[in-house]
Amino acid sequence: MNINEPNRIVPDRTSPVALVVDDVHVHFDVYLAASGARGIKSLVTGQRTRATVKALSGVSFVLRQGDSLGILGHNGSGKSTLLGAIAGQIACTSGRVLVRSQPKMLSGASVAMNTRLSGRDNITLGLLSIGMKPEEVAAKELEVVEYTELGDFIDMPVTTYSSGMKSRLLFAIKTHQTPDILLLDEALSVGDKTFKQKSLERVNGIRESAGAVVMATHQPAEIRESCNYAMWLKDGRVMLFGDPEEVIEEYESADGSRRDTVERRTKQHGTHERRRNQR
Amino acid sequence: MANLGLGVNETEGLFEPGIARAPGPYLKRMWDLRHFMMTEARGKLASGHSELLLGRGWLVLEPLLYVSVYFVLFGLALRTGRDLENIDFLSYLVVGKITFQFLSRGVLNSAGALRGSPKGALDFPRATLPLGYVLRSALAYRVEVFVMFAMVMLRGATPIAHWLFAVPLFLLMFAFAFGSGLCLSPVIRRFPDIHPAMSHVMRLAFYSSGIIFPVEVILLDADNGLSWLRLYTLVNPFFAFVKVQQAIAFDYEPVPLEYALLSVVTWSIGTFVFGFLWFVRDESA
Repeated sequence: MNINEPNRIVPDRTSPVALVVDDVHVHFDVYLAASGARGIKSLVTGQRTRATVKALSGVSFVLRQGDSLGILGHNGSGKSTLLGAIAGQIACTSGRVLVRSQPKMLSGASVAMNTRLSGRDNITLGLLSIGMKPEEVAAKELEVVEYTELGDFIDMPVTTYSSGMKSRLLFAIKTHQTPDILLLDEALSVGDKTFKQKSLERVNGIRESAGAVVMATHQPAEIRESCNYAMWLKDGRVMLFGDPEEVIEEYESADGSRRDTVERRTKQHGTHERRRNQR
Repeated sequence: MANLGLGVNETEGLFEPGIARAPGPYLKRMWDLRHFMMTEARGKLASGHSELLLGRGWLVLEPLLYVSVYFVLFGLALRTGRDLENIDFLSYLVVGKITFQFLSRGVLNSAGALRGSPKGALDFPRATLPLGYVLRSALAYRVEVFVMFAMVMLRGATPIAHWLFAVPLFLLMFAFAFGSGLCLSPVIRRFPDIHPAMSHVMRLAFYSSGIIFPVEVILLDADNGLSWLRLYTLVNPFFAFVKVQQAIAFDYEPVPLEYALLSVVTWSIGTFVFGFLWFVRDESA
């Protein structure tokens, strides 16, 4: 099965289209660091060794309202780049993304919080940042505060929080904005077991409230629990798109062959090194 | 479009994600975030003093302390104000320093607002980043300006109605600081090394804007002709802003007020309009 058979991936359904990813390619130009005499030469001449990294190569799919897509893939497979392209944060080299409303990214890694302010202040800011009016914020704030289960810590500066508490706060702020399109980047693998369960329920809730969810993860269990589609991404290409069970099975059985890939890469890298040394 | 199995009108109403690319909608997105930006600026300003025992008292203490240091060094030790006839040097210093402080803090911080920020659009208008810094600087200035007029009164001036002109001047200063941030921050994102160098340019501006010694007495002396230094002083926006503020606070007019007003209005509207259009264009590219 292949992504280039698009009729397979868009089932005949009538709910409105929420997100179109149309043959998206993302290439990054990177400059390789040169050292020693070559480095000095490059400082003088201004010439740098440039390489193009193909982070995404021809990704296409369509999600409708109510759909939830889980992206599987190892580190560096292009998951975060794809989410960035969907959010409009990363420009597509070719192809395009179309959305029904501005997607909101919920990233587990970067914390867009003011850590010197209290959790409550951050909630207020988070709600204001989506254009809520101050009156509406006052009402909504309590709901979010209760959801975080942070107790008295809610009025302490975020610097005093553990990383689990921080991500819980961030999760609560982001998901109480109920965006139409929610993007999750490894976000569910935070918090203790009960909160994890709670966040899964939350994601399901947003999904049901007619939004679309795209989540990136290495953990198939999360996808099994909350997605109706899965995609396996490898080296920026879609290996498989479709029913979660099917994709997860293929992904996991291919995982054994992963070692070969790593070895092959190391070998290539070694050749590259040698070539450089010869110059 | 690749064959995605979509119906004819199914992509209707869909748009490309990211940020508005036209100045009008961009400005509207920023306006929608006004409550957020004010709350954030207030919070950040407060949190800057949160672990200090005197807390927000530092908003008053800070201008008092830096003015005191300059007064001891330049007013008492070097007596740089001896060329000022009938003008109290401490008032001259306090008005100049506090006006310059707001401008330089606003320009420097907002110019560096995009440092380390990734290329490409975010899901919010990025011009809110430099604006956040200028807002914070303005909130501190709100306190400093009271310190300023209190000091001028302590030195014997009586409050006069045209102190109220400090309000429109503040708006022009705000536009200039924000406009400079809009002009410079996209450049500094590409060449971050400009930012540390800029603080030295600011220091040059500080010494040459008639704050700790009356540069106008030397440079605007008609005998000197049209020298480069004289030209620089006439063009220097910081000099013009400081002189207008001094004219408002204690009727000091070393240069014709019309000239200084023309300069501050041109600088603020110019940097703001050009900066905004340039910033939005750069962000959309």
